[in-house]
Amino acid sequence: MIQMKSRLNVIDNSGAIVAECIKVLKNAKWAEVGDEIVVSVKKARPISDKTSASQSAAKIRKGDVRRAVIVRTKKEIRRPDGRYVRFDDNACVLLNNQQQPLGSRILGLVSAELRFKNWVKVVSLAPRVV
Amino acid sequence: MFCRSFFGSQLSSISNLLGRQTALSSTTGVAMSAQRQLLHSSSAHLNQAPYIIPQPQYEQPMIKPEEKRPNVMKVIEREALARADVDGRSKLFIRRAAPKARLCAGDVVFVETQNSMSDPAATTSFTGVCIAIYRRGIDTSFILRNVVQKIGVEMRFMAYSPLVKRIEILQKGEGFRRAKLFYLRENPGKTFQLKALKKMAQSAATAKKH
Repeated sequence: MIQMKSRLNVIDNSGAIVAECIKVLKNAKWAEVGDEIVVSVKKARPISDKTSASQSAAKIRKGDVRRAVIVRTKKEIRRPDGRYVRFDDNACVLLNNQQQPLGSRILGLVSAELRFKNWVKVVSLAPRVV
Repeated sequence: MFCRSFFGSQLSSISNLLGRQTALSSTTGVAMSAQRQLLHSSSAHLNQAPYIIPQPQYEQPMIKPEEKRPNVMKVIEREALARADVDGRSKLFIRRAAPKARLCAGDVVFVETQNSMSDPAATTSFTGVCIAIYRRGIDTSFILRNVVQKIGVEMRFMAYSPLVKRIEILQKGEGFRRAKLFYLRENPGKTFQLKALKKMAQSAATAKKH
């Protein structure tokens, strides 16, 4: 149940640490796991000159506005067989304009709902899917 | 009721045949079983109709002898539970069962679930500490909590879902004096250090496959 102003942990290696939802990209107030949202990065890892020269990955700074997909929510998600899954935090993965993950790795587990909502790349990068 | 008026004369004879059942069941119970018997006895002309009448799974409705006026919904719930209780997992949820057989808050539980009804072999398993049990008859459910990759994950399973293949208690909990252990979300202590039990879960999974 992520809405405007909700803060999420960013669990990829794009450099962002905390992001704040500024728009839910579906015609609803709340977003669930597997939904796309627009986020503003509130906390990011400091970028030194060495790392920026070596990596060709996008540099995420504090204040960047990016799209993201929600991968974990604290609000329980209902599965079709009646199961409910709840995580201890809200987490997202940043995306680029082509709906592909910005980072090259995902650190932490993601919800299996992403598989049903066709986020194939995110699921394949994740170390653990619950 | 339409059926009662139609089979009115035959109902009394059927109820005589039922004997002891008549004295203890309510009129609803008698009518239900009587109708079923009538429908099946006169099924010759009904088989030409475009519908199929299934055989009842429980010939006698599940009415306890002390219930003078049994509640239809209770009887239906009992039958649903008996139908869903394929491997005896209801013993986990009976309050008065032996402490070893009963599922309590604080037990480490291993649950194996089928992902879909179409493929019985594709299963997912989850191990965790049971932090809550909701005993609601057929809607009985329980919540398992585990810490996976430093993130707490809670899963709520419907006990009698056909997709839940196996529920096993890996270790009985000790020292938990509450029915609902939601305080473990903030103060876990050593509760979720379950690495040794993960091995137990894996051996339980492989043992069952063979």
